Amino acid sequence: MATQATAFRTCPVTGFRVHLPAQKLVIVNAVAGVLALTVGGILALLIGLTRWQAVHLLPADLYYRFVSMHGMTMLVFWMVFFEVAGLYFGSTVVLNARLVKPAIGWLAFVLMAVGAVLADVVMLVDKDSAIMFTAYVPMQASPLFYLGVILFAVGALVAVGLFFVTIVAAKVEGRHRGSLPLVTYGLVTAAIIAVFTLLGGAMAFIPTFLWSIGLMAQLDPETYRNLFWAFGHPAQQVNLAAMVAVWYTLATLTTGAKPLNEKLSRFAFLLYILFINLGSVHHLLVDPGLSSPMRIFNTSYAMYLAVVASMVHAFSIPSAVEVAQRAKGYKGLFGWLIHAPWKEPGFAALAVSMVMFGFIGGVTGVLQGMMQLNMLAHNTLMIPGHFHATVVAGTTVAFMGLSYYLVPLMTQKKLVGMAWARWQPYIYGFGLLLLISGMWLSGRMGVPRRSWDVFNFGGAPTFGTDAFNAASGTLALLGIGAIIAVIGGGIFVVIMVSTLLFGKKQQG
Amino acid sequence: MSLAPPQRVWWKPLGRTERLWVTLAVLWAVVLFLMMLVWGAVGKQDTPVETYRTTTQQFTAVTDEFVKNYQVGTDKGVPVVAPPPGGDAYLRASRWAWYPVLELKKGQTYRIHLSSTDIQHGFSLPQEVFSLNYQVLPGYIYVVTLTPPEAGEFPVVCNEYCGIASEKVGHHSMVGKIVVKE
Amino acid sequence: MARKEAGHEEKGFEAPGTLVLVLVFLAWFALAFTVAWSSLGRAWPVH
Repeated sequence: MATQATAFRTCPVTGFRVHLPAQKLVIVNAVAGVLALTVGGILALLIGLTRWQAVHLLPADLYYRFVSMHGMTMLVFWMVFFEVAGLYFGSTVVLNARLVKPAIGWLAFVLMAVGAVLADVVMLVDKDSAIMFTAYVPMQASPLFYLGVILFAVGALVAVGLFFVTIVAAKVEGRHRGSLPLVTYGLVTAAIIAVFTLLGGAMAFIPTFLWSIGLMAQLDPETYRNLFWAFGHPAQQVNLAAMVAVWYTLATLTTGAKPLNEKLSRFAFLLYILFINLGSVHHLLVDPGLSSPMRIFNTSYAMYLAVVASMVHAFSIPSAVEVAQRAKGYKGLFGWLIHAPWKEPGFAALAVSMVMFGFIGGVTGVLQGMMQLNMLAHNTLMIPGHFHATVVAGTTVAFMGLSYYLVPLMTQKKLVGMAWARWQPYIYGFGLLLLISGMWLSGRMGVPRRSWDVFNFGGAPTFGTDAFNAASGTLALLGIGAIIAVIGGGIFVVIMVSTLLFGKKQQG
Repeated sequence: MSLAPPQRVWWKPLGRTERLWVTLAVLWAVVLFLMMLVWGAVGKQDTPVETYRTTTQQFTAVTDEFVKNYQVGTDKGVPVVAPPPGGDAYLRASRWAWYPVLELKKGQTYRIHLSSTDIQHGFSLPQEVFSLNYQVLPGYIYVVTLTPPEAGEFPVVCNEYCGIASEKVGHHSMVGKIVVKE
Repeated sequence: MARKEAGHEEKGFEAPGTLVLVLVFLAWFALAFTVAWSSLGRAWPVH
């Protein structure tokens, strides 16, 4: 018993009991996430300055390599490392519980780290393996690329399993009584979606890996697309559910908000689990091979139940803030909002994240995912325009906001550069607003995504066109937005690294 | 507190604001759903669904046959082919070209058979605003039935990454052409 | 506290400011919806 007691410390600020082995794993996964974010951010700047046709920085070969690496590094490695940190936090600190087998957590971390480095290095050194995040067959990468992705996914699955076991143990050992707090409940949602996401990924990538080493026949291209998107889109729903859980956390931390009715918020999380995966078929809307009823039902009706869920959260969170603020005496229709803690980095991140996710990411996502409207958007820059609003302006901003509290709590160090942290979400959000507008407005003119040169088509095409010349202004907007966003992201990275290295030790 | 266990008051009914908003959200989801059916019935632009299985050899052969039957000229070494109005046209995608150039008549309807002979490509036809986009897969024929309402020359751009050979030749240089005559 | 909240529910809206915000969102959504479908109507006839 004595050894168990010393494995915990009590945070003097929050009163949480922190399990020290869990704390280490939270820190190491968060650091790996920030490292991935840094690599992805540098690539983002180079890619952005290449799509800005007046600058056109990179040669074609590097451009495609970097787009492949940027997609995988940001969408998978940054997100999942940070989410694993969040899962360990939500299942131990929030529940005052212990992480059941820290060694398993380290195993998961090593698998994920090796997989991530392997996949990125292969894409960097082997031109033929830089076949984008989607890696559509029959294009074939080196077996090491698929192996890297599989290792990462297995590691993530192990981490998710450890999370579930830890929650069960917290109950069994009586460290946590009653229902799970809403935040942990949201993380359980994310983890459940992660399980079927990773199974979908296994079904796409394991046969493809076996094909690349000659042990299996090539998958049918449409079958691969179907399986890939059973991984590719639900992976973003993991981010969505984790982000919403973070929103509730930030609202509570910065304003003391308490949802008006947790029944409703929890029901909305349940809708995500049940329906969001069906919505993934919207990636196949202009593919050969699917019937209209199949397209309409899967992509849309089922997806709209998940949209309703998001609209519920979009109400629950601000209303919780409003009620908490009114209890402090703020009057009038918007007195609560005007006097909200706008200078608190967590609240700034919450506001930027919710507004940009909802007004831009959500609306473009639903509309571009409607059956007929998808014809206008598929594979144009409107698509990256949409998902930079969800995954970057939404999820990444929320995760950054959480880091401003999570990192000091976990490292027991005072945040370095609080003055910068107050501005960081706004700078980053503004850069993203320009970037996303530039992408979406260019895509509206038909400018394709993942294309190195839409003005001269490499300089000697059989048939050129000046159809995209009108996009020079919006592509410049994209590039300028990328610069500002990378500055905003850089401020975050510098704050985090400085806190880790030079932060003043706090009591704890 | 979202970070604390909830008090067990889940049977507490929803408040008035909550009920109103949830109702509006559900109604809006129904509108979104119905719109696709409504547009399918009254709109002129609907998602093509006609699909056939094929093979590289078979699709190469039918495209060559189509070119032989209806070729009206050449443009930069690529055959220009005028399919019969109301009839079938074939557009073959391969690294890194669209073959052949199609010459269509304004206001006539054509069934354009899209397929690839190697890897995945993307058919993108820029419009006055937005563009029309379809996925082109090897092994599948996707029939897109088009009625061009205006005359002119229109590019067909590949928007699914399909590799590169060099700076000059690759995914980004894969541009084809559709000519619409009065 | 619980009683105060319960009394709150019967009269008026618990979160009028938020209601206005989400209605603005719905209006924006509806506007984008209208623009998107009318743009589709300008594309070449296709099926």
